[in-house]
Amino acid sequence: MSGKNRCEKEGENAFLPFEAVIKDVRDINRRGDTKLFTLAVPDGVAEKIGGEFCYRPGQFVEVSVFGFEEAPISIASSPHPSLMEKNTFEMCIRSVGSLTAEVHRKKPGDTLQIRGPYGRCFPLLEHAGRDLLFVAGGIGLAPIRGVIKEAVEVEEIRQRFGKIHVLYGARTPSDMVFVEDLERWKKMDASVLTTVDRAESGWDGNVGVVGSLLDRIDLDVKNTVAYVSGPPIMLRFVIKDLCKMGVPENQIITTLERRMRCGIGKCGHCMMGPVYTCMDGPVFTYAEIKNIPEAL
Amino acid sequence: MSQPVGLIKTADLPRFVETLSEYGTVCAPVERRPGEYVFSEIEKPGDVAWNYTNTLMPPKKYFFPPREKLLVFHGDGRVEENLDSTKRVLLGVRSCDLHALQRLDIVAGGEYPDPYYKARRENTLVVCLVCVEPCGDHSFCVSMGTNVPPPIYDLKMTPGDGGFVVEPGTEKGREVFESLTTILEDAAPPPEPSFAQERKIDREKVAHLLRNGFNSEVWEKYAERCLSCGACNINCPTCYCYELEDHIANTMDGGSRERAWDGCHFVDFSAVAGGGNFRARRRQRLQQWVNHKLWYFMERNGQHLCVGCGRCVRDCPAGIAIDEIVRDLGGGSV
Repeated sequence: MSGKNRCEKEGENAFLPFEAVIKDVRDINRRGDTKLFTLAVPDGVAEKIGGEFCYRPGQFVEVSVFGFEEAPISIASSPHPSLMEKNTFEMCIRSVGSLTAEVHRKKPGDTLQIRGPYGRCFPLLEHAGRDLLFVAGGIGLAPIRGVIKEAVEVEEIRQRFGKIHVLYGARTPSDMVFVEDLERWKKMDASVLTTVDRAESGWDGNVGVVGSLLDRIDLDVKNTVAYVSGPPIMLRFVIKDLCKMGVPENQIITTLERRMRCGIGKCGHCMMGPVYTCMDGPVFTYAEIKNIPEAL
Repeated sequence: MSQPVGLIKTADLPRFVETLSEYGTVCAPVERRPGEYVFSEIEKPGDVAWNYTNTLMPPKKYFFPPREKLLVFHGDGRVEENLDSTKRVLLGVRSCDLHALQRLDIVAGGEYPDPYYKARRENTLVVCLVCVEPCGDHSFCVSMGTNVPPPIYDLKMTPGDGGFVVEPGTEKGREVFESLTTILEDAAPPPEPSFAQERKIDREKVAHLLRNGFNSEVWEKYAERCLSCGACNINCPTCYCYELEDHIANTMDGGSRERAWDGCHFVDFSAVAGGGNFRARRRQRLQQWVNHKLWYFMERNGQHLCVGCGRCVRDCPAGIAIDEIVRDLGGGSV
């Protein structure tokens, strides 16, 4: 797979972040622990990183607030001009630690420190002509949301693919993220199925793990490219099921979570065998990681 | 044109060190306790231990300090890069540690060069001190092919009759060599060092052994003894992993983003937000350390990350030796 996007100008200090301005913040699930941030890279900053903040779905950025350290956060948007304004991007952040809690206290107009984008992007257009299957669990919808938006919402891209299925599972209805997007895709040319591990009052949808939804769709397996994103346990089960159904290993694409501390292949935390998740991934085909120790 | 070469007589070593000090602060092996050596800034030429056995800690600290400030941030939003441009002479680097430096050069280079490492590297004159005999029973550099220095030294010194034979290796070294002409005497290039060691690892086969032994029971035996103390991370000349940390100044009007050595033996090394940990088990961490040294790095960079210095063998409180693990995985053969 190919596809890297680099903004950094040669000779720049890769540890030096730039400042991006928060344009919008909104809750992205009912529980209220996860927010979607829209960030704008100011023109002056964009000048310094090659004129434009270039990124592709699948890549991530290192987000920081000075004093609260850094964390790798996947980009949740597509830069396609019909979807996002130039030099803007979105990130979905759950409050789980001191940095993310501090980020959640930020308001539009405040700034965040950003490094990146880093890593390999999704190879969407390499598979033009195929059917697409997106399977996401929990907040795992965030890293593939950009590529789903491109495939479903951008007309000239939508035309290049066959059927599109989106399967999404969350622990409870309150934990479901991007419900508006899921509803919109359902009304567009995509089949969308959702499920929850535990129902709550008012939920009359599916109950069960996301993998169980695979039985409910009709796939032309050899012609399908599957994107799988979610917690490690879910990845293992869904990838196993897809292989059993006959989806070729190099047509199963996933994105892995690791402690990508530096993002630039130096700090060693995200190593899996000889692979650096931050540099060689986080996007991989199953064929690529199948024989890598500790990958799944 | 023949390579420049000259002899420094033992009596002229103080003048030699003084001449080097014109380049920058001289850091060299110094005997701290009987038989225990550390790399340290010297006060006078007589401090240099010319016939030292390997130091407690490797000299990597001069390029990649245990803790360093990368960025200093201020309350008014200003951010400064904290690059170290101190001129230093790193005198007396053994072949194994020089090989380690060459591995660290690979890590610090690549698509995103590390400007902090690079600044220190460019501002340091590296003087290699060739080993002509083994330094102890813990090392296995001969089997790793690291007993002969790689050609990245600025100057190389080989013990010989009446002193040291000095040869420059780089342009930077050549300039310093020129300034030494008044104290150098004629000499012939020394032969490549050659000596034997008890410990060995078959560097051609080891990656294969580790791959095949990934699920071997042998690991359990060592993992039971391993304390996850990280001593072998901290004293390794090639361990390059680090953590990034922010520190707020007591005045609360700024602070610094720092990096500090980290080690794959520590339990939270691979932990992620929300409680996941990709190497929660001790065995996984021990295996990561060994595999990275003798398999993964080779696969990625064509060289082993272990340089056979044997510090890990010497200092493990549980008596675990990396060459013994490898031998065990190979069913007892080397």
